[in-house]
Amino acid sequence: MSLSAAYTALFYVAIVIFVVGLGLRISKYAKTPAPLKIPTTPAPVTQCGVVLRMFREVVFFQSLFKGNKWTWIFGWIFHASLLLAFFRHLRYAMSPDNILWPLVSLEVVQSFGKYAGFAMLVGLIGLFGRRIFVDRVRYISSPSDYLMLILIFAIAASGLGMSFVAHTDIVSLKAFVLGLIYFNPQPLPSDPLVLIHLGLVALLMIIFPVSKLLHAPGVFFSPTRNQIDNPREKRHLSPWAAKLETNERS
Amino acid sequence: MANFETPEIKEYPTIPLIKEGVMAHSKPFISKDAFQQPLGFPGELLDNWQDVAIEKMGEMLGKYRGLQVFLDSCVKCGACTDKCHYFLGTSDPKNMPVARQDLLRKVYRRYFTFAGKYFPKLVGAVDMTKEVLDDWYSYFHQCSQCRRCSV
Repeated sequence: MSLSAAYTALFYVAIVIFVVGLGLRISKYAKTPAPLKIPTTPAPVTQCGVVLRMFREVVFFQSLFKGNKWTWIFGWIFHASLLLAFFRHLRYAMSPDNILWPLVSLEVVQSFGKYAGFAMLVGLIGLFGRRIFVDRVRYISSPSDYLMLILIFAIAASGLGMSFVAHTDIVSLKAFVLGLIYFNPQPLPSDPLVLIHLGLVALLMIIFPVSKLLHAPGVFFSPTRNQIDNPREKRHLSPWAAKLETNERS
Repeated sequence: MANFETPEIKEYPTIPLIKEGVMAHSKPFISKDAFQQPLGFPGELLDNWQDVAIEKMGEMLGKYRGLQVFLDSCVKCGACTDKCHYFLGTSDPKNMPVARQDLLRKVYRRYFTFAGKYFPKLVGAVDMTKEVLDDWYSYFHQCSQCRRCSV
């Protein structure tokens, strides 16, 4: 089997595992009842407040800032630069006819995305260093915690290598990606950096639904974040608890 | 006065280095069989206690969203490690909130997750053994549910 065909198959498999796995997990979180009113105080007392709280949590990592400044600095830099790199990568999946093209092709999106790669490395090295040198964090870390950081570091490093060290055939690469999207498989440029980068990205997609990266959807389902603090104004009762109550009375 | 080794209280807490096993001896007194039976508890460990425990864990995972989400979502960032005053006072690492959860999480991973079932050493998943149960009994009772750790 040719390399392009292998990578095409790998990506289809990875995307299916990612989407189906994530979908199953999210539906499990959604279906599991949250019977206890446990928002972490100080907590908002309106739905609007909850939305704002969730916004501050996801965008600024508010609770992590309050918890530990060093982890916040490295963690936030990593996640923010990941977002910028993601925006930059959209150009590989869109044709110029796409409505978002003028936004994605902006010089600022492209430049910031490139330099964000370096910021990502800084954040990851900081987090990795913390995991090695701080005894408390070393105690709670399993091999998968270290490997996860190394995986993402390798993805970022190989990506930066393609931007600044050894340019790859960008036109063929974009053809390959668009080929995946439109089910019209195209050949893949076969230089090592591309193969490493794409192979590791496929691995990341495959392990996403079975790893701690589930904190991404998980944070939205945390009862400590998404509940309104109104237990006295509105009775909070889950279906299984309500059933116990009617059983008691009857 | 009894000879205690208490840390000095200063304006900003000094985070102690971990000392493993310091509080492993501390657990509630186990009651007599004659008192357990009327409450509906078995007096001794049942023969199939591991299965009973794992089944109960599965039942709780289906009833409490917080449990399911938090066992999956912990990324081991360590931001909570210096918050529990039971850790700050004793230096026992299993009193760190994340490590206390890990006593449960490593069994959860072993029996309820893909990674734990097939790659246990990679994710720190362990079987449900008597040592694990003793740790649960000891360290879960060393939490007062004050929520100081819930960042």
